[in-house]
Amino acid sequence: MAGHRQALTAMQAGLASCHVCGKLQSCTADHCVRCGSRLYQRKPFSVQRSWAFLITALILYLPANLYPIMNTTSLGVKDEKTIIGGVILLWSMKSYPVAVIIFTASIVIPLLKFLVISLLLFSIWKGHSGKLNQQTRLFRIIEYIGPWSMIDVFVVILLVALIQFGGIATVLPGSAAMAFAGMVITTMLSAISFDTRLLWDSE
Amino acid sequence: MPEPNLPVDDLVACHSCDLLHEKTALGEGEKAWCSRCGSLLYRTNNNTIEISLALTIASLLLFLFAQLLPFLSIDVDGNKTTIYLISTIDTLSQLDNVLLGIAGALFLVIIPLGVLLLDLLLLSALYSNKRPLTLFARQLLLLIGRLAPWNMLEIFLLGVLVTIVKLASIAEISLHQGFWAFVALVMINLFVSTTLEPEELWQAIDKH
Ligand SMILES: [Zn+2]
Ligand SMILES: [Zn+2]
Repeated sequence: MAGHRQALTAMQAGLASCHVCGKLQSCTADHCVRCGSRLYQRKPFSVQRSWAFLITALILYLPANLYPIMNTTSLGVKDEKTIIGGVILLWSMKSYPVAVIIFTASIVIPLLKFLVISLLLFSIWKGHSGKLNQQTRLFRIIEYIGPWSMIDVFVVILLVALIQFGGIATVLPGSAAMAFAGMVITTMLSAISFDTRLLWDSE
Repeated sequence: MPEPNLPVDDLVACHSCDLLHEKTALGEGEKAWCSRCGSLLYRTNNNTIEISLALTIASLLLFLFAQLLPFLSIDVDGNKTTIYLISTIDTLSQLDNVLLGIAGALFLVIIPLGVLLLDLLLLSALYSNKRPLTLFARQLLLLIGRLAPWNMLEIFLLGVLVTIVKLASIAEISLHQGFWAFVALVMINLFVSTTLEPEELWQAIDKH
């Protein structure tokens, strides 16, 4: 533990730490003395922006899961696979580790992100404190694992590029691929807009 | 026990919960944690500018190797295709899926290469110690910070491994120099990102 505990937050002391470079300074200035970014004590419109991105992500989550992520044509036979269809196929082919990785990255992580961010946003809205330590840690975990959802998009990109043997088989990205990438990006933006300090302000 | 008259520079606010702490000197490799929420407050940098610069140059070379050398090849009944990382973008752009091509170009080439080049410029500016670099260096560090969350090389590596396992049942996959350069690049990147502290770079810029 560093230093001895001060009972004040930076906001209560009339200070602000820059959101971009982290420099602690008086909150009276408009712009950070170190990096010149606009200075705020809390991220501006954090809750609204976080909700907006999260809802966009939720909307994208539907086509991402309902439409095929990959269209394969092999010897004239067309095959369209949704994300979950791909996971089931992998499982039936006894590729258990890969099935688990794709299922976790593509289905579980996005759902966890939706759940955790919306719970935390509700918690801020209601001014509930609850177990703030755990909520903060939960958010940091979600923030870290979020981008790993992109795995399936990268797999599609690689498969499309790899399987190009004329006539024998072709692999094309399905319409879900872009929806899915958009979903991952918007959940990341939602997490970036979220300000964990708002959780602690009600304490 | 608030010390109201402590200068601001002797204080640090937790980035997760905003609680103020008094800064204390840390030994090499030590970290300071928030007493209320347990988040990381600050840490000392084990890497000097010099080492970071050397690692950045190595990363740039590895990045070029990964992109331009054969990456992996797939063999189905004697039908062999070899791909280059850089050619995946080309293949995607030939399809009518323009957006996926753009996403691929951004995540596989533009963002990682951009971060590496910006790192190179910033670190060599700090290393050569020439004035005036302040405004220029600040802009560079700001850009690096903005791009950092979108740098997903290690995630792409897991994607490559998944692809290999998926294809292994129907075809023979062989890995080439480009792939190994990519693995080394990801390793170095992970090491640099856990040891290079933005706060110390800001302080290094402030000193000029
Ligand atoms: Zn700043
Ligand atoms: Zn804290």
